[in-house]
This record gives sequence, structure tokens and C-alpha cells, in this order.
Amino acid sequence: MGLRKDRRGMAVLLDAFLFLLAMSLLTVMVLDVPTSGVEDDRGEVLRSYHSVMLAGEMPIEGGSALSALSLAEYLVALSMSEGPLADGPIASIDRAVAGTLLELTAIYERAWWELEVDGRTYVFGADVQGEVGDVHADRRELGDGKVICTLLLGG
Amino acid sequence: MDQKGVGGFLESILAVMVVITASSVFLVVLSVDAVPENGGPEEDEILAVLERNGLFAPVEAMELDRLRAAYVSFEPSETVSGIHLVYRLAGNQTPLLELGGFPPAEADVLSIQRPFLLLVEGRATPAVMEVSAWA
Repeated sequence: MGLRKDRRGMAVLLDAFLFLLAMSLLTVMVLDVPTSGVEDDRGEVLRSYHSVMLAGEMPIEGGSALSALSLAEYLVALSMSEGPLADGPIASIDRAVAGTLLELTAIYERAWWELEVDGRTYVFGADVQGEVGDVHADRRELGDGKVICTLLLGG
Repeated sequence: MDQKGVGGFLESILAVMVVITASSVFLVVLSVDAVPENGGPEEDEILAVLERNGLFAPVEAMELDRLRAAYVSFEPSETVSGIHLVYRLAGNQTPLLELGGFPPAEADVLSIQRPFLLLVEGRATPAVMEVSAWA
């Protein structure tokens, strides 16, 4: 009789240990899953950097009237003319976005900016070939949708 | 039921209680890191204090001279007693302006960075503000 009770006690003890093991695994899994706060934070970072980048004034030398335009205004002005973008405007846009992309690349692994004007896509920033991993994007439509620009973070 | 059987059964119940207590302590220890600390200031509070004092604006372009002047009249709040600020151009680690002191050794410090527009030679240029704040 005593032996039977001891065996029952051991069985309960074993159950308790199994319970503890299951709880430990569950806790580790819950703590290991990235929280949504991190995702929200990355989205917020993208939005704020993109807004500031588009509001920045164009780095065009020589006191041109275009230098008083923000990047967003400059892109809308460019979209008024037909055909692909010339090398000059592409170089100016590249200078306007380079700092922000460099900053984001220092924080995250990869950052690049896609510009779509008149159905043509231009990519600025890091080489996006190969494995990129999770990508976060902030997309803006300017000038009644004639210009679409997307800031992307990968890695 | 003999004495030995009752004793064994009670021992197993005691063991279960010990295991449950140990698991509770274990879970509390694990969750300590997940609970936010209450000592330091929050991100929103820091940005609000900086905006109120003219040291940061998310939309309007700022000038270095205006930032320098704004820091002179900086008024600490209940939650933000001290700040250290670095202003620099986006993508360039060289500070254009550095303001404020350094936190006491025992202070809870929160560091954040925010993009903003800085007027450089009359042109609104994307820049970054790095701030460390403590209560």
C-alpha cells in the first residue's frame, strides 16, 4: 500500500516537472518573438526620414530657381516633361537623397529609394541585388500620382 | 493506508508545491527584463520638451544659431532634467553643433535620434538630431 502511494506521488512529481518544462519552453518562445513595437518603430523611422528627405531643398548650384524647390516639388516639376529623366536631374536627385540613404544604411543593413516617373523606375542607393530579407517600405504619391517614390529598408 | 503511504503522498504534494514556487520565481526573473523601467524619461516627453524649448522641430527648418540661443534658455522639466544634443547632417557623423552636459553616473539615460531640416547656407538640408536625456 505504502509503495503504491509512493508511486502515485512520484507520478504527480513527474507531471509537475513536465509542467515546469512546458512553461519554460513557452516562456522562452514568447520572449524570443520580436514584439510589434519594433516593427512599428521601423515604420515610424521610415516615415519620418522620408518626410524630411522630400522636404529638403535641392542641392543645385548657381542660384538657380530650382534650388529653392524641395525634392518633392522638384520631382513634380520634372514629371511635367515627357520622356526619361536626363543625367543632370538624376545626378541632382542622387545628391539630394544620398545623405538620408547613407544614414539609414548605417542604422539598418540596406536602404534604397525607388522613384517612378512617367512609368519609368529609377533606383537610388545601395545595390539591392541578392538576398535582402524582410523589407519595410514607405510609399508616397506626388503630383496626382504622376510621381511615386518609395523608401525601402531591408535586412 | 499505513503510515509510510500517507507520508509518501504528503511528500509528493510538498514537492509539487516546491516545483510550482520555483517555476513562479523563474518566470518572474525572466520577465524582469521585459518590464520597462520607470526611472528615465519617455521618448515622447523628451521630444515635447525639446520642441517647447525650440531645440527640435519635425517640419520647420532650424538654424544653428537659433538652436544655440534656444539652449541658453533651456528650461528642464520634471521628467527631463538634463540633455546632451548633437546636430549633424544626415549621412555625416561629424557634429555641426553639440550642446549640453553629460549625465550623472547613476542617471537613467534615454538616447534617441530624429531626422529634421537644418538650414545650411540658406538651404534646408536633411539632418539628424541625437539626444540623450535623463531625469
